[in-house]
Amino acid sequence: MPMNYLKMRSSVTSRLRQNNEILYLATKWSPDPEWYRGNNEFLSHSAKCRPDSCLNRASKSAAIHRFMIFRITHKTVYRYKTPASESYGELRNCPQSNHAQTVRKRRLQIEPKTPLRHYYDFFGNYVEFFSIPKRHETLSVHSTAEVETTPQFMPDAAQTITVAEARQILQTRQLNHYVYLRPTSMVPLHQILQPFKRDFIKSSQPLDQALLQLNQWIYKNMKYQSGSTTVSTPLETVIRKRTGVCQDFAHLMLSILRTYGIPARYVSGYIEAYDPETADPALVGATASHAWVEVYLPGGHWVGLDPTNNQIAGERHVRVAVGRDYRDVSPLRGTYKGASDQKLQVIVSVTRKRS
Amino acid sequence: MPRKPTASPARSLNGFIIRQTEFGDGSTKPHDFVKPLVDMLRKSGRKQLQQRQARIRNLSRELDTHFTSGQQQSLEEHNWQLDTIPRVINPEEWRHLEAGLLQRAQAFNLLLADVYDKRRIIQDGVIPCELVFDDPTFLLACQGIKQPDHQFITLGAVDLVRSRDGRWQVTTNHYALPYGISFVLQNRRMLSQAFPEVFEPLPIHPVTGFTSELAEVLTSYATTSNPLIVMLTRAGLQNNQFEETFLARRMGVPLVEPGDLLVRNNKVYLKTVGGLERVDVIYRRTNSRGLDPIAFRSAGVLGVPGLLNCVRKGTVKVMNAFGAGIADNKALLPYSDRIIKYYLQEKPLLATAPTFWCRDPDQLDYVKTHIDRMLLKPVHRQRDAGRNYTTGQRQTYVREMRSLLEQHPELVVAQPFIDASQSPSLYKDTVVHRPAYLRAFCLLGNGHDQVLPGGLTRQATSAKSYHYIADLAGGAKDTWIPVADGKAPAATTRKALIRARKRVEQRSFRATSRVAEQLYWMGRYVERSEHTGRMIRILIEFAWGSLSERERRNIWPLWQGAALSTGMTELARKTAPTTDVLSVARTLVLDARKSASIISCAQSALRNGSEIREFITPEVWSTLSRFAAAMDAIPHKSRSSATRLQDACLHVIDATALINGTINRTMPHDDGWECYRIGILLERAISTVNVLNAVIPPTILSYSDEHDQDPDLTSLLRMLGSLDAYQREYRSRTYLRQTIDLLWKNQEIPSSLGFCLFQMLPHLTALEQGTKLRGRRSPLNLITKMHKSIESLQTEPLFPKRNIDSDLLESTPLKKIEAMARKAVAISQGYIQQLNHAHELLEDAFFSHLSSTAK
Repeated sequence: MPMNYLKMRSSVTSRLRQNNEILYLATKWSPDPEWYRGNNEFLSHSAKCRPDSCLNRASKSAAIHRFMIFRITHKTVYRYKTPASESYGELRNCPQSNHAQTVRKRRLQIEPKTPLRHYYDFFGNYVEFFSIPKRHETLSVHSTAEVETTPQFMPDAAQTITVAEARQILQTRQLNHYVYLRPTSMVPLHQILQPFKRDFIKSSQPLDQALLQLNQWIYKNMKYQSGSTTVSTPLETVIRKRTGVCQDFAHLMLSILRTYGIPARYVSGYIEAYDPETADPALVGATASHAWVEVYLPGGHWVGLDPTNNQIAGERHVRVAVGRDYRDVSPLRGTYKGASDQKLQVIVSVTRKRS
Repeated sequence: MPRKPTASPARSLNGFIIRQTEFGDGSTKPHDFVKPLVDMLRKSGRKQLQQRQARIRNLSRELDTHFTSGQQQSLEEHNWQLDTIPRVINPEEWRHLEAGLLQRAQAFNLLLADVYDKRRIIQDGVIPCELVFDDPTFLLACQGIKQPDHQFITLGAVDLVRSRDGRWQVTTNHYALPYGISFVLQNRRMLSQAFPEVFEPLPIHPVTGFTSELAEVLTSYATTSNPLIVMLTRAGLQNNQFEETFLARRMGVPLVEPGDLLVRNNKVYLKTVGGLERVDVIYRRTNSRGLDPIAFRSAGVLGVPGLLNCVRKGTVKVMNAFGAGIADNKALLPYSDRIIKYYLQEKPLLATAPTFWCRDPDQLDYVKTHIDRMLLKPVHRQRDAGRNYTTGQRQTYVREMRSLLEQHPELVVAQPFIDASQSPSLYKDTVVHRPAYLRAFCLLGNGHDQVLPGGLTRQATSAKSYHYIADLAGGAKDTWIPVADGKAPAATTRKALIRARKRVEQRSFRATSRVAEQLYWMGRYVERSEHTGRMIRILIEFAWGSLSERERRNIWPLWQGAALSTGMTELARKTAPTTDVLSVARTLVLDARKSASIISCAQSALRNGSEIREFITPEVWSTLSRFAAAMDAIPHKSRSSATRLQDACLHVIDATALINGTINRTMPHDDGWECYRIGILLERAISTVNVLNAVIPPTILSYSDEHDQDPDLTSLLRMLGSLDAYQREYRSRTYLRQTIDLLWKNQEIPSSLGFCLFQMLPHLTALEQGTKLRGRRSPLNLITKMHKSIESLQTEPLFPKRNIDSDLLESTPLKKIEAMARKAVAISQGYIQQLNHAHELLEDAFFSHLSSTAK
């Protein structure tokens, strides 16, 4: 019979498990050797994650000792109606260590068991891949990680210059950020923004002010509605309906920033949805899997902005992968041979941990 | 034929006036390097030359040399035209050219290595970064991939124009996917066969060894002792099919499509009926993007998932490298000299034609004001990949490019017309002069970079044509490089022979799984059509409307059998006869939405055939397509009469017999054919068993008083084409046990299960030869076992006896009869299961290799 190659699509919808713990850590944690015992089936690493060494640690003396630890579970299960074979998949769900966060533990389990290999892609993401040639009825990918995060602030670099100056500085060395200025199929530029009839960024504005205002504008003018869009909803529809989810807001913000000549990239990650410490209202977009934007500032800083929650991506954001748009960072990209009927179940949880 | 020349006055052959061409400087005296050839041509009579010209034309037809032009939708094949007079390049010029070509190829190779690594050339401001990042052939996914010896280019080519003052200039790079090498070799072959005398006066460099040189370079990247090298091309109709088949055959490597390859444990395997063969080196002949759906977002669903990661991990080498297309970006042309200087710190030896990139407003202005003296070209090669414009299409091309210039100037480059030097050419019985363009090939790697001594020369259709686009309408010329000192060509080639070389071992290959699987399914679909046609033809013979209730009930099990064997399980489960059997028949014959209908089967068989066009004979293809077309031509009316359906069924029976006969007569009886036969036999066995499965229970039960249904066994035998055999065998009216004996156990009746199993044995034995299939994984084992158990099956205790004269029914109580029916059905079900299992085993063993362990 003719066989179908079908693309798996990983979904961002998920349910949050609410069993948070409050804690600040006093001592450095020492790695449990169990986590590092590498064999073919499990691949664990934390030291392997490449730190972004060019980035400076944001320094605000008051908060420097504060950090949070999150335990993240991300489980994806595909159930096929008829057995699938020749599955091949690429995963981008390993959190990265960088100036804002450190991965302390990571564990990945794939059923059926299969050897895993990895590489770093163009954007610096840690990509794991696997193949399952034999027939199988379910495919489960279970990733757990423990990540330490620190608070983030707008770097000084953004406060002292105007948008026009920033643009000029960036013009001279385009190599590092050129791809983050170009349109993609999911993030078209210019024309698409016409319905807003709005000048989002003025050249004379200080850069930090312009960014935060834009962040706030999207937060205030776009309606968050869970389930209102899918991964394939075009940005045009989102703009027309002024409604979407975190992924759409990130794409919209990318489109605006790039249209105005400010390089920016898409970030996929996790967010702690409820602050267990205070009775804070829930952070919106918080189905634990989250998406926001990072802006490239003169001097090589990337600063994270979360338009869904009107804030700077900080200690409650855990960064996983970056790219030009969602498609560069999709957590699981794969193919299999078999019938097209499949059921997908995703469970994501982010739990703050007490040491 | 080339268009009649307009500007160039025809020269009589006897005079052979040289004018200002590549052969001379205007006087009647030719250049020294070409003098022996001109003298020889002058001596030849007009008649002889015309004769040679005709001979070349015939040869070209015989060798089936053709090129395809135009878009995918309308591939049009043109015969290749070769001029009788070769183009001769001054050996002095060539020496200079050769060095320049190598230098350029090496520099662009370094450019590719840099672009996928640190991009120093952009950092240092030599080329703008949008040139790289906005190029659709620049693949982000290839970042950091290391090629062996940093070789991104193995075989590369450039298009060159020689201006009248003797300056060679590069107009286009073809470093990613160079086409045309087969025509170089073929031109030389044709000319030397048709006109051997022309080679006598002038010793020239040979070109034939170049493909084995290429094979050697590819082999040198393999790490194993007996490496497998494959040539990877796109699935489906090819623009360059002739070239690809020719090249693969010359190099002795299999030509494969993405569907032939499989990634397992980060290694690439070729799926053959003999098992999985580890692939060491892939010679890529198609765009990178379509080759890995995981790595490239736009790849679609075809391709080999995971291929790029194998390249990344170094378990397979791909030549030319993934993403090499960026070297062919035409906007890079103005930067050529800078690129050469940057990477090699050398003075560029070969000029590049002036090229304006219209992205720059000033250059765009200039281009627009001089547009009548400019040749517009798309920046990225995808837009014209493999596209060869013939004369009629040139105006379209110009129009398309101008509108592209208006809308997207950044996608267009412009090159001022170059007054190309002309070469004498034979047109009918006169010598004319035509501008000539050269595509030169170079081969990098294996520690010995080299240029093919010669190349593909194409000539324009008229003397004043400046359109040096891939214009094939003017025909081609063999390209000669005379040996410099006039001696036999020895120096370079000898040296090459002495070099310690890795032997390119000839490996014999079994059919690839893709081909085998398509043929297997083609067999199954053809047999299914035939079987359905045969059944329906008999079944609709009964005038259903005029039958009594009882008669209908006697025939109904046969309908159930037909339904069961065509997958209409709902109908098969109906115990009471349907009134409108004609509509059921219509569905089974003509409903294209039902996958088991004859029309669907015919279409599926045709699709199987089209997937492997190059592996089936043209005759088979034509019978297949005629069958499908005939089925399509039957109007599917809701009121098609029984007669019309019967005609259709008769046609199906004839057409399938024709297909089978043509396949047996014209195709090689190799692995693929074995698979076709197995498909036929397995399908037939399954159909027979399915029909019997529906007929057996009511027939057994008819032996009791409670059931007055008495299925019509005579019609059953007719349906399965076996009534004649039955009568020969038993010379009696039809009894159940005899019928079952015949259709299960007999080994001589083509419809019987025993026959199908027995016939499958030699085919399976041939297929399993040389494989490691043992025990439960071997289809041969299963079929042998089934065959044995059928042979030893005792049918007598299974079925009640009936003696017409004496009523013995009383001795077989109803309970016993029911038990008998259950047992018979259990056996029959067992056969169905085993046959289905045989299909799975076949699939695993020869097609998908799911359970096989990689060698």
